[in-house]
Amino acid sequence: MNLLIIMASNPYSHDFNTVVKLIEASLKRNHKTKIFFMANGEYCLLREEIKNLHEKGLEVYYCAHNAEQRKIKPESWAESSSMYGLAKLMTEADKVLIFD
Amino acid sequence: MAKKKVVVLIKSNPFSWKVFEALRLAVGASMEHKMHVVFIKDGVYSLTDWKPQLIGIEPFDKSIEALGMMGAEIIAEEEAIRERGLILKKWPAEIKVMPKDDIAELIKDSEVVLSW
Repeated sequence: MNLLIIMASNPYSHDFNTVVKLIEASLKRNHKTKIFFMANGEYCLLREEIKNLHEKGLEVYYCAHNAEQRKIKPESWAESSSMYGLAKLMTEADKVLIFD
Repeated sequence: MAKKKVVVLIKSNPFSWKVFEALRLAVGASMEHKMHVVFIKDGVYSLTDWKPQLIGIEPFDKSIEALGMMGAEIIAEEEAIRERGLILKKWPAEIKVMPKDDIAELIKDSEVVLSW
C-alpha cells in the first residue's frame, strides 16, 4: 500500500508520537510510506526521529513556503515541495491521513 | 492517474492559521482533484465578515476566489450557521449552504477527507 501522511501539527503534540509509531509500523509491513510536512508540522523536520525514519525508508517532503515563513532550513534528505506537489502525492496515494 | 474526489473539512474556528493553511492546501489540490471545501461546526465562523488582519492573520478572500475559479465546491453547514445565528459575508465565489445529512453523503462518497 502507498500511505501518505500530512503532518501539520507541531512536534510536541500527541500527534507527533502517533505519527512516529504509525510510520514505524507501516515501514515494518513494507508499505511505501511518505510524509508531507506543512504549517507548524515543519518543526518536526528538526527532530531526530524523522531523520531515523527516513534512513529506514520513509520519504520526506515539506512545503517550502511554510519552511521559509518559519526560517527553517531542512537538511537535504528532506525533499522541498509545494501545495501542488502535495496534490500530486495525493494522486499516487492509496490512503491519505492528516494530523492537524 | 485519475482525479480523486477530495473533501477538505474545516471544523475548527478560524482564529488561528489553520483555516488559512487548509484553504491553501485546497487551492493546490484543486489543480489536480475534484475539490469540495466544507465548513462545519465552528468552521462556519470563517465565512462571516470578521477581520483576520486584526489578529495578524492574512485574509483568505483570494483563496476562496481561486477555489471558485478552479471549480471547487464550497459548502457551509446549514445547522451550524442557524445555531450560531450567523450571517455569511458576500464572498468572491458561491457558498452553498447545505444540510448536515447531504454533507454526510458527500463525505461518504469521497476518496480523501482532510479534516482541519
